[in-house]
Amino acid sequence: MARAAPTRRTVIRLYLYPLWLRLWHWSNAVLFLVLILTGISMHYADLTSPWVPFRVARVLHNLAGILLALLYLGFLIGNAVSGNWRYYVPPCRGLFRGVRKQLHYYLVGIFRGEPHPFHPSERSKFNPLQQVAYLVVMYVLMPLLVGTGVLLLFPEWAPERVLGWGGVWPMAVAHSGVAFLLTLFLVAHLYLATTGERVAENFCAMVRGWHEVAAAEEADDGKDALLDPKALEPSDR
Amino acid sequence: MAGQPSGSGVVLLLGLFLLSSAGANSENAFCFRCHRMETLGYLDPETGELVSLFVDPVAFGRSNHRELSCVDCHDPGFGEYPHPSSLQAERLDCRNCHQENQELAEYRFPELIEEFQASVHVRKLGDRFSCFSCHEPHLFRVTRQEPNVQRVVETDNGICLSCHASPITFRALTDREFPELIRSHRWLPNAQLHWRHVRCVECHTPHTERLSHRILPAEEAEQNCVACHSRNSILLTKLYRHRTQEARERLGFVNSVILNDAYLVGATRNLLLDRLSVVLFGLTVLGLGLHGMGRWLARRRQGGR
Repeated sequence: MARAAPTRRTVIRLYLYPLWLRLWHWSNAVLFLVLILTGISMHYADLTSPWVPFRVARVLHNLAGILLALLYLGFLIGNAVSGNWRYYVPPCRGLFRGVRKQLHYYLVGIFRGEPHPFHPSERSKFNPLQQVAYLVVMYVLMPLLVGTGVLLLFPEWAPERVLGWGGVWPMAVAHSGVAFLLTLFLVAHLYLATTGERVAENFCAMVRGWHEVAAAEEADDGKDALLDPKALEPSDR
Repeated sequence: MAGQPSGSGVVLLLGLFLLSSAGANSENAFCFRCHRMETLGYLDPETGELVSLFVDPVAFGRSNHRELSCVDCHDPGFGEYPHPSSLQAERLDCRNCHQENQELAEYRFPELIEEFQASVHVRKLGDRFSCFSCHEPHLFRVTRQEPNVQRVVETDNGICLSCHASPITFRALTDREFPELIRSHRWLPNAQLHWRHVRCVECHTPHTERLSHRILPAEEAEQNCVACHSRNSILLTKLYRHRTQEARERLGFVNSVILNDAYLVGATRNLLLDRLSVVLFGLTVLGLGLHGMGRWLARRRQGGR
């Protein structure tokens, strides 16, 4: 039940990240690091000074890729069952204004010590910029990455020719290209995770599941803070 | 036990089946009585060399010609023993069967013969070079029927090496100095690795969908690494699919998916994209680094206030 009573420091704790989501997130993170390291080793293969020896990189990449694809399937099922998918659906109105506001905060407000324009709540735990980015990452780039990866493991399913090229090559290039974009996302994601009230705040939230919101700020900035008092109950959906 | 065949009936049926299917094999058995002996041969009075007349019956039984009777290709006179001396000058020609046979039309023999005539071997050696110089008809097996790619590479490269790695055979055909393969392939990185996994003819024939019989002279052979290690590599398109399927049959589904080694190094690389990705990654890290430094400075200033 509700354990979200404000503390003496008037901090509201929200249980935003259920156990299944945290397990998925961190397993995904470890697999991604393995895939990036082995992927770069194979792409820039150099027999004289490899990051990871080619034979090891090949097997590790295949193994981690299959696990990542299975995890992605798990994520889709978990999202559908728990209702987590709703956080990824952008609002019909005010999305662009919200994105602009969040971008302005990152580019200007953050240096002036302004408060965060949006606070997570159980109804909307992503700010508008996160919402757009995560939507593209999880529902466009990830299916492309997993799909092209599966086609490289089962090249007989790939089309014979794509735009005049042998069918395997476009799959391989798309796989590398999407993987590169997701690597950039990972770097930006890691950095932006440090922009909480404290540098480690968001990392701790993703480990413990609880997100802390300063109650005073919430009161000051009630219009944009999408905090829903009814939704302050922990849930492992 | 009415209704069940007796044991002797089964044996009789089996015997009749074997007799009816033996066909060419039983005719060949007569020839193999002598020609299966590994030591059978004669000393060529002109060259002074020992010419082997041995035919391995097991290898012949696996070859594409296994259904043929010996005298389908050789003169019927060889069906008698002792062989008539008039047959000593017999010259066989694959084209007698292959060019006219509509069942073999898919091999496009007229085109293949044109390629062969233009090959460096025929241009330099003329009549001294024939189909049999590379393809031993008693052993010949079409490459695509061999499920193991590694064996295909070994077999096909073995054909080339039977002359090109043997100074004796090489000098018997040409007066040229015997070229040492290691020296002539010094430009090729990891030459031994390539020779183990790639056929000589992949680089020593023009790039065509179907393997060409126009063997190129050394100076015209492919020396451009990106012809294979690049986008749209013919090797990638053909070999990658084949290798993956072959690995699945050899290793089983799960192992083949994890352990498959069909990855062709560099085939996904594009110099422009590689450079662009390094620049974009650098700019991202630099931008975030500067942003972080700005935050740190701003916080210090605000703390100071």
